[in-house]
Amino acid sequence: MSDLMLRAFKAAIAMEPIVLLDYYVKIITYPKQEYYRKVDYYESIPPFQAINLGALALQTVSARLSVSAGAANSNFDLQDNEFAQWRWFPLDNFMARLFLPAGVAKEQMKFIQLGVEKSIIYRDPTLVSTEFNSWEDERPAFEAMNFSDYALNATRIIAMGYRFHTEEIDKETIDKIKAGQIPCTPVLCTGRA
Amino acid sequence: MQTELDRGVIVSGGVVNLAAALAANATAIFQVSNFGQQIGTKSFIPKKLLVRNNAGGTLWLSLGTGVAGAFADALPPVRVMNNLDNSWQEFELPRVELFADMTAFPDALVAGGSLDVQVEVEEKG
Repeated sequence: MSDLMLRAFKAAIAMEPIVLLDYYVKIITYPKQEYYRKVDYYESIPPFQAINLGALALQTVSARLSVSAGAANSNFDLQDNEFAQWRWFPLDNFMARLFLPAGVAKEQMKFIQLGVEKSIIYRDPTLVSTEFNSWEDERPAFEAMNFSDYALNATRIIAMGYRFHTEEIDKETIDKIKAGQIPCTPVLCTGRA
Repeated sequence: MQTELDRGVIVSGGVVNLAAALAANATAIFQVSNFGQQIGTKSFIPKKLLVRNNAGGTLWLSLGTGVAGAFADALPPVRVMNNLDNSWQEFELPRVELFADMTAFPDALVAGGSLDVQVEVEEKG
């Protein structure tokens, strides 16, 4: 297969940072907090195993977890003043449901919450449709659903993306952003319940 | 080269000599990576198996996890012919994924005979 093959999503060519250096951003978190910031640096996050919800019996759903089974901290947590842009996929054969924060569903339709299965790596190879953002340590949570008729030894999620550091900006600049005089990129760091 | 997001790393275990029969003598032929400082849980999928039978007699080689009474088959036992090289390739092996050391044992051995076993795996995680 070629990288020039047809993709499900027009934007699914490569993962690019949502903003660049010196861009203004409006961080939106739950419940409707807004932070106006300026990006002063960013760096890539290579693919890594971000969370393992643990072994899962057949036809069961795991607890909703923001950390790996048995771990104390979330590998999605960021330092103060940072947000991240994530893409991710399940490495094992389960369906993952994403919450951000834990009480608020992502990919929420009117009647169903969408899940992401391992098949995403074939249907959307660049994972653009899995993209979400998170702010500081306002961590995402996941549920793993084992829909199969066999037990799973692990329910691992691989994540990758970019980490952006931001700095505060003065009120005068914020006023200009709100007035539409300075461009600003909204960065949604929450689900929409 | 097309990106393969779930592709692991291909590595081989060492050559392991099996000189004793029965599950009580099951021996690791590939050990799962479980270093305390590694990020995440590793697993592996056996891709190739090469067995040299050193005058051990024609036998069945069991492949699984665990030792002694805890041994559990991961694949059906394979028939290993006496005094021959015996090999199984990826397309002949079910794509089982193991999260523990892979162990093996022959069901019987002629006195003084042994097996040299080596497995190639795709390590994921």
